[in-house]
Amino acid sequence: MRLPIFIFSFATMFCTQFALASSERSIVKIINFMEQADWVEPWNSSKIQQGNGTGFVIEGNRIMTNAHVVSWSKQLVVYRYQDPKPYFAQIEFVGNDCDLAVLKVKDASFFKGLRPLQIGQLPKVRSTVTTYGYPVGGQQISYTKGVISRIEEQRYILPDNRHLLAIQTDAAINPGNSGGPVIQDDRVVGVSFQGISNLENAGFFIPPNVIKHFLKDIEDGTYHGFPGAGLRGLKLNNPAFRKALGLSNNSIGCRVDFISAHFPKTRELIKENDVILEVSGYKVGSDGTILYQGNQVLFSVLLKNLQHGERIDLKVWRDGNVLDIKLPLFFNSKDRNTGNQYTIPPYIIVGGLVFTEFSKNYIEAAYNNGKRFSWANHTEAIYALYYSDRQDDEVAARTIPIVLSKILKHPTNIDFGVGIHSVLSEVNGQPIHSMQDLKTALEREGDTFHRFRFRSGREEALNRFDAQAANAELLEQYNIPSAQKLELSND
Amino acid sequence: MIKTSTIIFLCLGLFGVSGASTFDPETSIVEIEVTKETYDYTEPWATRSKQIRKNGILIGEYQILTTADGLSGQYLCRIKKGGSSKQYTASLKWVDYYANVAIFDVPDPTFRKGMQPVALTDTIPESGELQIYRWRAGRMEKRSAEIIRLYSGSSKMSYLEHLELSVASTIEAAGHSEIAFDDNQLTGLTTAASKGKLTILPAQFIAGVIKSHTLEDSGLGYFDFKYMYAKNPALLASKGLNLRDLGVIVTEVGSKGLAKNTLKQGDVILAIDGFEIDSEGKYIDPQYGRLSMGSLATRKHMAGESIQIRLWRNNREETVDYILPQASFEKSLIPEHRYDASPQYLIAGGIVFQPLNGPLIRALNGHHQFLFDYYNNRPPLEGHDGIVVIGAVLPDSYNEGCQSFIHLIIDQINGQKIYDLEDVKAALEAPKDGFHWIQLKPDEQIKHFVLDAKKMPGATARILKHYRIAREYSI
Repeated sequence: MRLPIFIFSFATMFCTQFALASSERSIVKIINFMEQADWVEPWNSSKIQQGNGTGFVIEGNRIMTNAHVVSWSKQLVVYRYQDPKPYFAQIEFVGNDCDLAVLKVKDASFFKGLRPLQIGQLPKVRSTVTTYGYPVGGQQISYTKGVISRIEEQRYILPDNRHLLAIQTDAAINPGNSGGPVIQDDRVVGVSFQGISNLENAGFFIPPNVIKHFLKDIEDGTYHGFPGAGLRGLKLNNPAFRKALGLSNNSIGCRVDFISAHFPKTRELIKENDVILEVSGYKVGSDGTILYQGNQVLFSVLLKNLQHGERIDLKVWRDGNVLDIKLPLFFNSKDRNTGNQYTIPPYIIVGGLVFTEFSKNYIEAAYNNGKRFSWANHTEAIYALYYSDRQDDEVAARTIPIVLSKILKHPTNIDFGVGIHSVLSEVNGQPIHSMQDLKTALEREGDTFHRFRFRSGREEALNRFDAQAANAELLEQYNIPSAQKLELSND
Repeated sequence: MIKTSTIIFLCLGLFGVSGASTFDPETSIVEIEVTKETYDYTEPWATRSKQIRKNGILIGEYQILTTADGLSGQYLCRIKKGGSSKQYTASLKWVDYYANVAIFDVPDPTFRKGMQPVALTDTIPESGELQIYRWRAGRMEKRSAEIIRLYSGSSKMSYLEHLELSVASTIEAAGHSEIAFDDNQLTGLTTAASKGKLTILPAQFIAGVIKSHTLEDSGLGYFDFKYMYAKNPALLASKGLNLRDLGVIVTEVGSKGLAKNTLKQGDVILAIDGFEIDSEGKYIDPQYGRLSMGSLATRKHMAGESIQIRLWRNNREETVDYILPQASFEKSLIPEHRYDASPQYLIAGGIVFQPLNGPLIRALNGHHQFLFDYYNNRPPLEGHDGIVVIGAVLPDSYNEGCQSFIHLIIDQINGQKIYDLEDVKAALEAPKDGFHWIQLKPDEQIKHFVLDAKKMPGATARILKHYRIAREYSI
């Protein structure tokens, strides 16, 4: 069952002054004035909203916080401990897959007298930690104490389609705590970030190995992200299956059930029904777990300790032989539309027809706005979105469905017989698998008409010249800065 | 559909036995008590019973006309006349679930005493008032109903399109074949009720269905294609047609698996059976005015007949002969309905294999995976008769590790492609090296699992006993 998870930032502010402790001085309050994307009319944005969170000073005159604390930011204001003066911060690096970000502050005086907090080691289960932050319910810094309940992989709600190691604690973590440090023995052993709403006395924080991975990744000036192998490993408990694969019934080794089309190198080196016996020297149980620093966790944790492009050592059972395989790992960006995105979506307007990428965010926006979106009517598009990595066909594997998100009504398109949320299959005879395909197809020399075919089998046409004239009028009428925007950006 | 071996050559005229006399509902309307088997597709081996009550009307040679709705699984039907008589056992003469019409006979000759068959109207009133009758608690209930409109809609029991009447009435809890009368003639039977509105199956349509069954012809047909309006002049112009307000465009052919030939995606349909089709898919019926073109399939034709379709294809006008296919759920990749049939299943080593169909999807009440909806919305796959899924896993040491493998779609067993339960049965007879290799569809959340072939029969027997299941399979 997928439990509802929430993240710990909230809205409201103000601070006062009080006693000091050296860690407290390094903890800052962050106010984010943000403007979120409009997934249906991508040239528009949401109204300005305000969110609060917490951050802490780290080496190099920087502030570490959660990515979700600074998402969609238009202005970031940071406050020192018990200091009413606002300082303006900018995002230096953001890792949406691990929900971490590093900020810089132009005014160097902000860091004066502040001790950078050091990142510690993975804490032990049952040990005690203290959380620091500016949660809802007051204006001053707040401390809560608790024990570490368990350590294992969790779904990170910010990207939604990524699982990384997380630590559960019974220390109260509330909205506004997000980005705040969790401290043990004067070292940061975590960053508070999310909770599960129907779990009582449970909050989650990001562990040191994820924090350190993020900091190491950005050392070269670019954030790549956490790599993976594209493997689906499944339990291998059934005695018949073990016997069929030539294995004894000893609870060692998990089975590779499937390999994602987004990882061709893995498909080359690993085969379905291979059995993973060891990863980086750790023995893998039949349930896919390893004993990692005293915690029973999935072996995938080891993959995520490495950086994009690095190789991992595997011992694999195949056809009665043990193979040593060095498997290269990569950050997968091809599934970006299946998770939450933090860039403004691309769009193309032609004759008042607005086309954009079909995505998880688009589906939610269309559904929440009640804009006649029905899952049952979009099974082909949803399949293309969420099942592309299951395909053997290379084109199907890279397809991002392109959807008609809006019709800006104009005499040219007033009788257009295809409704919004319809997904394109072909334009001017060219198959459409991306926004770039659409752009190329529209620019293709042809006859008098743009011809559109949709996945439902419906088709429509616009007179090219009428469409061009309509576009100019509609851009003016709706204050749209440009008829198209294909690159992904935050602006 | 069920038919008796006796064929009575009736024609429509014979139903008009009481056309001139005054209608007395108490001598013509009966209450039908239906005892039937019901099934839970999530436990396909379990059969339960249920009783429902509905209304019938005496027509022709003392036959009882009612809707087919609610009759699936019936095995004992009893008739009460006059609100308080003894229960007469009735036999189902025939039932047409696609058209939603059924006829009962009552063998006991004393049943006829004092009863008066009525006539079916051969026209459908388009305005004015009707009277709705039914038996309730031993008394005849009568309510008036105002005709809202006549339209072409889908049958309650199938995808067939035909004429229906929508009426407004204050009658409560209706839709169970209540009898609609217009003066002295039977106008139709109710099929559904919602928020003060009733849907009535017109007697004119029912008469056609009865005639078809009497003559034992091929049943009703269906236009197995989808279309869209062609209101955008630019779209027609892009196809070289300089028309306005005429024609619809074919968007999908053969989605029900009935007919894939003759029409092509992109064809512009200009006329069907001599009637011009406007840009909203309507034609002008000489009797009833503007109606949806879908009802032309059932207006004057039966399945197997040829209907001329005038269309625009490849920049020129053509006329094609469309052979009207007979409606059949079984030809769909995922049959939408199953009537008078218990669920099919096969239990092997605790794995419950079931064909994917509409009743199973509905029984899961939304708690099924997305792929069911995906394949349900797709036209039949080339060479695929159907889809087999794991409906349930009955936990046992034999299938340890497989307990959560439910609602998954089977692709192959022991290298053989699986489209129905016969395929499963045959594939399980050919294990590979002592194991059954079961492969799920590539888009499933699990792709492979293995079961011990030698231990399977013993495990199946143990599991059936443990879960008190009488039969290993029902195919």
